Amino acid sequence: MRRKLKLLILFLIFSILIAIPSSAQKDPKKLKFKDLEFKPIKPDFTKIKKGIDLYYKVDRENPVINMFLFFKVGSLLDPEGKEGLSSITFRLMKSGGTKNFPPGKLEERLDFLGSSISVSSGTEFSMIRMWCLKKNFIETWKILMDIIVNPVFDEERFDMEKKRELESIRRRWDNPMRTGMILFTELIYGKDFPDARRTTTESINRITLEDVKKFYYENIRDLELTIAIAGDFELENILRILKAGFKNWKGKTPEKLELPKAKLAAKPGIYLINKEDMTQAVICMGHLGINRLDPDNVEINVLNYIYGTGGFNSRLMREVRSHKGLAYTTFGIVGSGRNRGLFFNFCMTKNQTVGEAISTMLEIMNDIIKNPVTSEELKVAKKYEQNSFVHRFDSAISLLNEFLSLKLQGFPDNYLETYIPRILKVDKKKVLEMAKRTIHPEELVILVVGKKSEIEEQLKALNMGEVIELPLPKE
Amino acid sequence: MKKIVYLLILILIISPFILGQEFSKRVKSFTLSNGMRFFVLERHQVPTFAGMIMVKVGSVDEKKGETGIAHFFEHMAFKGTPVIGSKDWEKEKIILKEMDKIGNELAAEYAKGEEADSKKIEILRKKLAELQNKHRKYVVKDEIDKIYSENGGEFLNASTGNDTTQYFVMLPSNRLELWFLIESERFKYPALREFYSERDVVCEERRMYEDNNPDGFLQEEFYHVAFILHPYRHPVVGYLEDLLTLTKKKALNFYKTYYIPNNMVAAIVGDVNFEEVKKLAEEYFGDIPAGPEPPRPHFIEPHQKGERRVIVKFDAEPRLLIGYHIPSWFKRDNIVLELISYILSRGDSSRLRRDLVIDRKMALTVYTSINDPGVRYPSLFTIYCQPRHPHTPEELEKAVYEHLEKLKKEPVSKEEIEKAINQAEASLYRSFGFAENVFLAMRILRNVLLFNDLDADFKRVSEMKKITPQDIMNVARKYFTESNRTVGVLLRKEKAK
Repeated sequence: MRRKLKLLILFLIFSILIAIPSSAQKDPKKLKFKDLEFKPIKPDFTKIKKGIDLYYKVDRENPVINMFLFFKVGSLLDPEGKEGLSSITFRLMKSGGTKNFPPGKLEERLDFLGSSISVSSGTEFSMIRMWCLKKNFIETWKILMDIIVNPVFDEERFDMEKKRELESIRRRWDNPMRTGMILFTELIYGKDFPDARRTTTESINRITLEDVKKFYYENIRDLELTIAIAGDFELENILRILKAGFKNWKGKTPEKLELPKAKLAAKPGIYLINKEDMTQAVICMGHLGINRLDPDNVEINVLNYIYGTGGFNSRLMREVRSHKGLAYTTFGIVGSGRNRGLFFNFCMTKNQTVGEAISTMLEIMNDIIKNPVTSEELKVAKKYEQNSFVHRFDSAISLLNEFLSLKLQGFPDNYLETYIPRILKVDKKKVLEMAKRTIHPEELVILVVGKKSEIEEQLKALNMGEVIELPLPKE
Repeated sequence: MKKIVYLLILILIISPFILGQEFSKRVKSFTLSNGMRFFVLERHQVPTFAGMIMVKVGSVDEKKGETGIAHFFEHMAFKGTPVIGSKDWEKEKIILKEMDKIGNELAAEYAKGEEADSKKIEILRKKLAELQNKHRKYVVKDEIDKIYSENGGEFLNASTGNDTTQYFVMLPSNRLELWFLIESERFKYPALREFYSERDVVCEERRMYEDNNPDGFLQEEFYHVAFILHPYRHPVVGYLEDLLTLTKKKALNFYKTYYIPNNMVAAIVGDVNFEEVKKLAEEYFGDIPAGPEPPRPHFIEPHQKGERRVIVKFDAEPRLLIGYHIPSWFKRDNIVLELISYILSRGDSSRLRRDLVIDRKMALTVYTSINDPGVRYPSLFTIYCQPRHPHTPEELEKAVYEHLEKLKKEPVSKEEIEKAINQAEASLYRSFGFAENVFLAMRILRNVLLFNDLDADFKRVSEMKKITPQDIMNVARKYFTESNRTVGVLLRKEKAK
């Protein structure tokens, strides 16, 4: 039978007159390559004035200009009960129009130029991004500058931004994955922890236009600023424009915030949110993670890779997905954050296998803190870090982003230079030591969003105490 | 001074930079004797490159009863070859055969539908799980991923759509040969190991995107109703019923039909050398025999005679999806519709966003898409909205129609057309700011595989410039009609009391 098949194949090959294939299958492990010795590329730097830094990288491949303005302002500054104020303020700086461009005209002009200006605000930092064709730079820049220094906060638009935010709140629990992540974060940090607070209907309704204006003048206007620019520009022009634009900008250093330290808020155990129609459950489990400036903040990536971030090279993915077929998405990470990040494990699996998925994840977690990783796992993780490092710098924008996000978050200047040498020093002992220090199964909070009637028994069978049912919060 | 300005303008007009950037000016290509085409764009800024292989097969090519097979095979292409991923192929092969036997029995049982014996299924699944554990001894788990990763592979992934399937990865540029080796081997000798556990993974993927997500939930039913016959009607991930009855035989047959070099194109973008790419392509892909032109769906969607409507209930806030049948990408009307799409929803000053989101505050989001869900065959022009409470999908639907009627009655101003063209032109230069080589490779391959022209996206913008206000009115009148329409609404499910 097998011979017949071979003959058939040979016949087929000859019949279409293709050269005889070198029938031997090839083994990629026989190819040897030198590990990459790549020195991180840094953007160029200059100071516009006190409190305004400029990082830049010329790239003339396309006639476009990208500009990013980073503000050290975010939702950490939202007053209690007015959650959402910083985000609405940033959005309204653009959508509320400016002295020289009423809202409608501003949008019309940007669209006509094919330019874009977008605003995004986070907990600690916010960013305004501009993108345009080189030929439209001056005109787009004028609009951007007016947004930063001359916003007028139109009342109608304020009403629109609030209404849109209220609608987003209504839709907050539409997506089960997002629901799980939001509520897990709340369980870990507690509702009132500055990094975990969220907007509510009440908090949005409380915000007045006066609040917005006040927030702008107190926390955005005249504060220090980091600017990044990438693309096809002439430095001299940019410097001239920026210096003129920010002539009266004071560049004040913001006051240091006094913020509480994170504490695990929920009692360790299993929590359940019932969603009757779901055929697949969302599983979130973990506890507090580490500070981003933790002395092992580079080395931890090796542990994470092996444990749960290295795709198919991670234990979670390999066991839960690839071997057992229990999930499409699963990962786990000892995360870092401003104060403490999250140790976060995630999985989505059909109702029938919720118990099996959690047990598998727990086994992996318990093993990583008890036994050393294998030499093979360690080798792959380290080589991955070393050889893929270069991709972080593969465009002017990505290298600026990489550099600036580190800078803003307070990482030391030599972080990137020391990154690979630090990775290369990690050994099995170090991985185990980090795992023991950062992963604590006795503190685990497990949140499952899913169909109670089909999963509750499986959760009880895990023998991790009572299963506490939580209502879906009304927000 | 003024003269200089004129001179500058003149230079800009004579040598528009747009032309200088077209792919045909920068991309070199060659075709192997088996018909496989390669495209190379050299970018030497950083020592990295992206490699992508695109296969002209998507869910649109699937037969009834085999939905999801294109996407499933994409998953299987990561499972290695007899050499990659095995500790002992001779022994592994024996277990794989045993697994297939059970797998076939299981599929046959599932295929009985309501007559299926659930006890038998349970027993067979257990047997399969035991074999899976036994099989593991012989496997080097996910070795393709492992080898790529330790060699600095990033963004390693693949995607399957209605029209095409694509495989991609970014690597340091000294690993060019590794890319050629792994990509050629995985398509020459797929081992199809872990077939049954991967089938379960895909079922989970389906549950995540189609069954437990409001937009996926609505879309699936919407396409079912919008298309009566054409295979654009079924979801890329496939039906659970088809996934459970998928056999290795079907998968192999699919692979042999579509994964042939004359049905595949490749792009390498980044810090590589054209001559070296050519040499390696010859060496690694040159010996794959060409195959006969694969069969293509020959269904012509029947003319729609009246509005179709579907309402689904889900535990989420309402959504609205409206679609109109339109001619394919290759027809002039399609270009006019693309321009209309810009006018309706690109940017905050576009008609629908301005009116429905900003001024009347009726919607949280509105956007329009053209050639949804595919471009290879006539498809749909769709409008998606999320109403803002207390506004209802009905109100929003009415408001959308008012705008479509306006397009039929009033000529669009020259400025509005110019704005849309400026936006389209600018979008040729937009980048995500990461994995640029991958996205460039994707654009190049879409241009050549779907539109048979390296500069297809550039030329499309030039074509848009010829559109007149009258064209827009004519096209709007022709396609935005009640009888050509499908409406899908998702409403929140009332809680049982």
